[in-house]
Amino acid sequence: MTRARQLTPAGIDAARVFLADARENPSADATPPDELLFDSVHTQLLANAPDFTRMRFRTRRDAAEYLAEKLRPIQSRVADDAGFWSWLGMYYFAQTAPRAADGRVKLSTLDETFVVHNGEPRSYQRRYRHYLWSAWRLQQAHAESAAFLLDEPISSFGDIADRVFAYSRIFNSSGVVPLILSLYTDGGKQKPRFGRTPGGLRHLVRVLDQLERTYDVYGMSPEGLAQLLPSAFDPWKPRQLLAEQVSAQTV
Amino acid sequence: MLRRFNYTDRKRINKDDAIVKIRSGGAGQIPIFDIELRLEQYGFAALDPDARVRVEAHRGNAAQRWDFGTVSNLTPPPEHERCLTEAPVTSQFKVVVVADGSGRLLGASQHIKPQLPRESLIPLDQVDLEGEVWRVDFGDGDDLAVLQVNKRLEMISEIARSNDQFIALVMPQVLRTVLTQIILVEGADADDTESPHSAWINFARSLRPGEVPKVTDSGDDAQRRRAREWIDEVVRTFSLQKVDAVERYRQAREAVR
Repeated sequence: MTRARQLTPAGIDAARVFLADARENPSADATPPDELLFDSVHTQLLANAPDFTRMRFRTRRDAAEYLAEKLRPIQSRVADDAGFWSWLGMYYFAQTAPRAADGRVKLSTLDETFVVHNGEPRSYQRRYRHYLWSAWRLQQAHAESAAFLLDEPISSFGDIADRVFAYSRIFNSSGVVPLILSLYTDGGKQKPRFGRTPGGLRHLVRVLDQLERTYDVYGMSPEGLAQLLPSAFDPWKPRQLLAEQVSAQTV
Repeated sequence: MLRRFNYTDRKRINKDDAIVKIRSGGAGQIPIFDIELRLEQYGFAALDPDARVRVEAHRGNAAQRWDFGTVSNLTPPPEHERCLTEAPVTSQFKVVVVADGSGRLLGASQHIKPQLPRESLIPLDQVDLEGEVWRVDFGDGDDLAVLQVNKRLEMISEIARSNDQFIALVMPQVLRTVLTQIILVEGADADDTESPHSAWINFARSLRPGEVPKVTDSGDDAQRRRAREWIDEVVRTFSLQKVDAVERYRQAREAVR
């Protein structure tokens, strides 16, 4: 068990150096050095910090549930704390880093999957890519309506996850996320050919942009949004949404 | 003049009735915004007393939204919730009034440029520009232009704001870059008051009153030439009257000798 800390700005810089090195020289046992996680130059104490145990998180749900329990007493204080999430990203690096078939780490080009810096606005806004923060936040914001994404591996960014995690207004919309998942996933799987076809995900994003001129798209319910979609989306709608649409039209 | 059709009777909220100010949240803290909303004269409460008022800050992929209650009972979120945690300080804002239940917009004000703690020609952002010292970033679509400076350089924000050599050499070219993008690349309509570029057009007009050229055909050499001449004239006036670039540069050079 390890008491959580926060990375200092110097710690975040050092973490970036570590990540750059792990990218250039990927190895199976890449691990942040202890001084990055515990010394007083790179880290500082966090009041009432919980203890963490290193473990593998099979899915975002596993991570979100573990973190939700640990963070409950200090949730409002650490929700937007870049130093804390950066420390956590480094602490769980070996357990969360994506790996190639030979076991060597295979990092994305974005440092923000592990560390974020609130002194750099661009870095801070990319925290939706942070494996742990985004898993925890996803469950806080959407719970079971985002079950498909919660049940994916923590570092998995398919087309749907990529769209949801890359756009904070989508991520934070209690209507758009469930709408996307209800249209393009079924039984825990992505529906075939949902990307570029008529009524597909890209089409949806264009239509939402158009609807935004007339509707508060990102503040609406998934059912309300579904009713506004043109008929090209009907084949993608699950029975429940179609039934609600018919019922609304006949009232 | 660009014509916009409004089939939904959505009311346009004047930018003077939605003034946004951003202030520092303290050393190392996240900036906070305040907004002065004056919505009574638009009659929203008569249309729907429960219509929701929402405020959004956005730039590129990043956006953050706040609920401000209803038109009959505005309830701004407390200060600690008005922190820009998910949208950058270089965001623009919008305000929407939304019919209760249907999600339809009853009113909106787009492209609200916030007043920053230090009023300046252009918002400043420190990013890693690798080999460049500065560049103008236009973001995505309707984003505001931002002057990016390279965070690898020590004190670069202070230098950009107050160093006379930097101001004399760089700021006229920043203005030229922005106007070239707005007029020549995007073919902006100077009479479109809803445009995100209206603040720049108004600034240019304050330097050179009169007609602003419009490029409707990028292949029309005469239009492009007139636009370039107008931009040159605006930048020349800016350099002389606002920056005093040559004299400022000369004195700064003498001061370091």
